[in-house]
Parts: sequence; structure tokens; C-alpha cells
Amino acid sequence: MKTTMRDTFLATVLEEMRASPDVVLLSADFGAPAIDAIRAEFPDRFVNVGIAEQNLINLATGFALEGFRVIGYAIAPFITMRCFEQIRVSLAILSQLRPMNVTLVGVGAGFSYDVSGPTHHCIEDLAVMSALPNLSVYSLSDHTQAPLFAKHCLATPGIKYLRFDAKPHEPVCDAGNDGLIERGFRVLNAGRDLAVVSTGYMSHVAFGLLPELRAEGIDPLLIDLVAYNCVDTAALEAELAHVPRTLLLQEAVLDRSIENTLRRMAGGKLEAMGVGDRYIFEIGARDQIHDAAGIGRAQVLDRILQHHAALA
Amino acid sequence: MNARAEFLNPATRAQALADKARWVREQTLAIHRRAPETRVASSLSAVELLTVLYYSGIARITPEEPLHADRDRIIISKGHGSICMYPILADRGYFPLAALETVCKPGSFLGGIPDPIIPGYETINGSLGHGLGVGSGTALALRTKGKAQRTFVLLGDGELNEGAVWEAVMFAAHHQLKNLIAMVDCNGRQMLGYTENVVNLNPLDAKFAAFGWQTHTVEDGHDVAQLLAGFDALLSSDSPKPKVLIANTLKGKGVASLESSPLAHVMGVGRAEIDAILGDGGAQ
Repeated sequence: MKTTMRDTFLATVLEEMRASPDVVLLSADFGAPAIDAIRAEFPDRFVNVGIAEQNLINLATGFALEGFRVIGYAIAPFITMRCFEQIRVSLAILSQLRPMNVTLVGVGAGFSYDVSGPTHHCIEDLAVMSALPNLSVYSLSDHTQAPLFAKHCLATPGIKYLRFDAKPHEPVCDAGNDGLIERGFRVLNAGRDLAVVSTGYMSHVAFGLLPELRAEGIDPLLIDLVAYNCVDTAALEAELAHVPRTLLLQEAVLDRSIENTLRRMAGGKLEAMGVGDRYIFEIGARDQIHDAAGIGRAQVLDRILQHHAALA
Repeated sequence: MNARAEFLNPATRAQALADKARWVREQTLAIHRRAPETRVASSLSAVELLTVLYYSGIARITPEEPLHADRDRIIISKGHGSICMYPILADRGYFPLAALETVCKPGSFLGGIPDPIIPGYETINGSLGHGLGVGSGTALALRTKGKAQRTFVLLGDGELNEGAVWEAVMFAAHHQLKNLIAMVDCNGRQMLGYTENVVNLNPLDAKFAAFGWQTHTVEDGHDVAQLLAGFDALLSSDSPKPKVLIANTLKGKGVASLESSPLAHVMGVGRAEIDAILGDGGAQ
């Protein structure tokens, strides 16, 4: 039956709140029928912070520093981009030093608020949130996955962003979610002619095209990618090793980074050096910070020489 | 918690705190002499405020275990301008005094802008406008858990330009976070000039009061007796409101070239001027 991700997610959160006194839910004046049940049962652990996403993130930080497991809940573009600085400073940077468990839930992935226009279309969140160190991005495709990630996120320290569709949907298919938490993706169709890696609502689109593709004699490998910036890359690579070409399909802007552009131009011959996936607290001059970040002068020379040696 | 006797005895308290503040100011200048990268003017305006907070027993601190559950939470939201915290934290026992020699040097944990790698710092600071929101979160979380610890947040007046501060101001009042104490180091200047010429905040106490806060303005934020009286007035209150201590201070207090310049925030102090202020004690 058609159900929203938020309803199955919040039903699980309610169970977790009943089981554990350290789970709190903060909403930026954004509701759902399941929210009504939570705020009635746990008035001390549900806080409507008002239409104030920046403050929501900072409040979530305060609760997390005091040992609460926090879920922040709001409309997707506003809980990611309205308060990006707060997420960066108070969650991504601080969580590298202090243990915190915060899960941000954004409802309204892609164009799911279809008639609401560009302010409510959320197409940049995957790119900007994936850029932050210490933050895991999950783009769910249907409501059967939401309870799994409610439990996973509450049980896993760190900062997470869950991207939810706003509309009720049937499940993508009956493939089930075995191994989804561990690997970060699932296989919707195990063909070998080509691969389509899709995320969120586009996994519905990809799976829905299966009859047309088969009519064309194409049996695709369909991958539903959920762990958007933290997938088990070895497992995904192993799946994709069996297919000659791969199409990425997402209801979001594509990666416009020069790394991605060069990678396409270089056809697999690109070496990229940049800042690692963590913040640098080491104190020193710029050269020393470069060493700590992995882009020091000697490190660059080594990499160039290795790159050159690989040509031989 | 663990305040020394001379800071508790009413007969000696004000003088002992004033003497300690003088030492903190000298140490802050000595740090700046060794590490000119540090923001010194805004670090000098809050010297007495932080000295009173950390030495008088007002804040419950646990230097031997900085994150002990029983500590009051002290969030330094105006992080750039808090180099004076380094001598205070070292002297209170959070880390060895010898570490003050290493500020901004490779391998040190004491940088130009303090971070929670430093024992005694709770949050990330270098970006303005976050501390009161985080502090509202810790205050509400502590109340939710039935804990008595309080949250103190140091803000700059220029920092109040940030809209997120006022989201927290409204939230804290609505939730009657009486365990939240904001402290505004009202030094009157921000990067490009006098605060009243950039975004005028006056009358600041009336603004906080209108938002539902209990306010107390300290006319001379460098007078430890006035600061003590201000904290006492707020902390002895039965009001359910969050509290704000507005301390009128002087940016660059103690350094003539800084005290007189609208651009003090970005100014350093030369070695010769520091040496003249410190006398023989400064040549370290």
C-alpha cells in the first residue's frame, strides 16, 4: 500500500522513544500524523523549535553534547541549506572531537513538492551535504527502508542526513532490503547488459522501465543506491564489474566538480589529490597543515613519481 | 567549586580578583607578543568578566576532569576574542602553564582561535552566532534530565548582528531556560568600526527584556565588584527567565593604541608597546 517514508520512520522513532529515554525529536514546525502521537506521549522529548532551522541545528548540538540521541526533522531544502553553516560548524566539525549522535531528516527530496516550485524543490542537498566530512548521507527510495534507517541511525554515533520523499508510494519492488544497511545499496534486477545506479525516487523510475527495457532485449543491472556518500565501494564495484556501462540516475544536480569533469576526460587515468575527509585541528603553518591534510609538497612529489612510474 | 579562599572571603575577594585579572591581562599580552596572529583587542575586553566567572566560584568548574557531568557548561561563542582564556584555563589547572609558551606554534594545542581540542572549551568557536543556540540546547537538555548544572554563554556585541542569535534568544525565553546565563562583552566595536555605527543595538538591555529575558547591565565591565554584584543579582533571582549580563567594556583594555581606535579588532600590538606595558615581566 502507498505509505510515506516519514510515517514508517516516525512510527519506529516512537517505538525507540518508548524504549529509550535518551531519544529526542526536534521539529522546525513541521508535522505529520505520527508527530502528533509523539508529542502527545513525550511532551518533554519533542520540541517544536519554530520556523528556525538554524536554531534547530544548534539546539540539536546542545542535546547531543548532553548525551541525547537527536532527530531533527524539517523540510529537506531548509534543514540542509538554510542552516548549512550550523551543520558544518556545530555538527560536522564538532563531532570530530566530541561524541554526538544526530540524525537530520529532510522531507521533500528532489521534486516531490512538485507544484511548490524551486524553493521547495530539493536538488542540491545531495551535493552540498556530501561535501561535509563526518556526515553520512542516505537517500532512501521507499518507506520499507525508513524503519531500518531509523534504527541504524539511532544505534550509530555520528551525524547523518536522511533524505525522504514527501509523497506516499508503493515499495519500489519486492526485492526486500537484505544487506542494505551493510552495503548501502540493493540490487533491484540482476541483469548484465548494462547498469543503472539510481537513488531515491529515480529507483522507482528505473524499476518501472524494466518492461520497456526487456522488450528491447536489454536485461539491466538495477542498483538502488541509498548510502549516497558512504556506500561499500568494494561491494558496489564488485557488482558493477559484470557490466560494460553504467548510468547514474538521480533527482538532483550532478557533481559539477572539476575532479568529475577531468575523470570523464581522462577515462580512468586521473589521479586526484585533495583534502582528506576530516577537519584539520593540527596547529602549524600552511605547509604543515598541508602535510596533515595529505597535500604536502613531499606527498605531491611522491604521488607524481608514482603516477609516472605507473606509465612504465 | 574549588575556588581558592582569597577569592571567596568578602574582605579580600575584590582585590584578589582584580589582581588576578591584571595577571590575566599581562599574560594575554605576553601571548600576543609571542603569537601576533592572535586577536588581542577583543581578548582584552572580557578579562575581568572571565576572571570573575572562573575564579570567584560563580561557575562550577572541574579542571581535573574538564567534561565532568557536574560542571557548569561554559560556551565561549565569541571564540576569536578569548585568548585571555588560555592563562585562565592554565592557571585553573586545565593544562600546564608552560603550554602558554606554545600558542600558535607547530604541534601546540593552543591555536589562534580556540577549539575543543583545548581542555575547558566545549564547542567550536571561530564562527560567530552559534553559541547561544547550542547553549540553549544544553540548558534544555540538562533540565530535561533533571540536572542542576547551568549553561553560561559568552557573546560579543558585534556577534549579535547574527540572526541565529535571536532565534536562540526567542527560544530560550519561550522555554523559560532559567539555567541559561548569557554574558555579552559589550566592547562597542566590531571589525570595521563602532557597533553603533554598523548595526546599532542600543538599547540592548531593553531588547533582551522585550524578548523575555532578565537583564542586568554592568556599567563598568572592568570593575570586578560590579561584575560580582551583577552575577549575584541574576543568579540569586527566582525568575524563570533566562538571564543576560551585559558588561560594558573597552576593546583593547589596557593598551592605549587599541582603546582609542575604532579598528582595534584587527589591530595587533607591537612588541615595544607590550614591553612598555609589561615592564620587566613582559620580556619572557
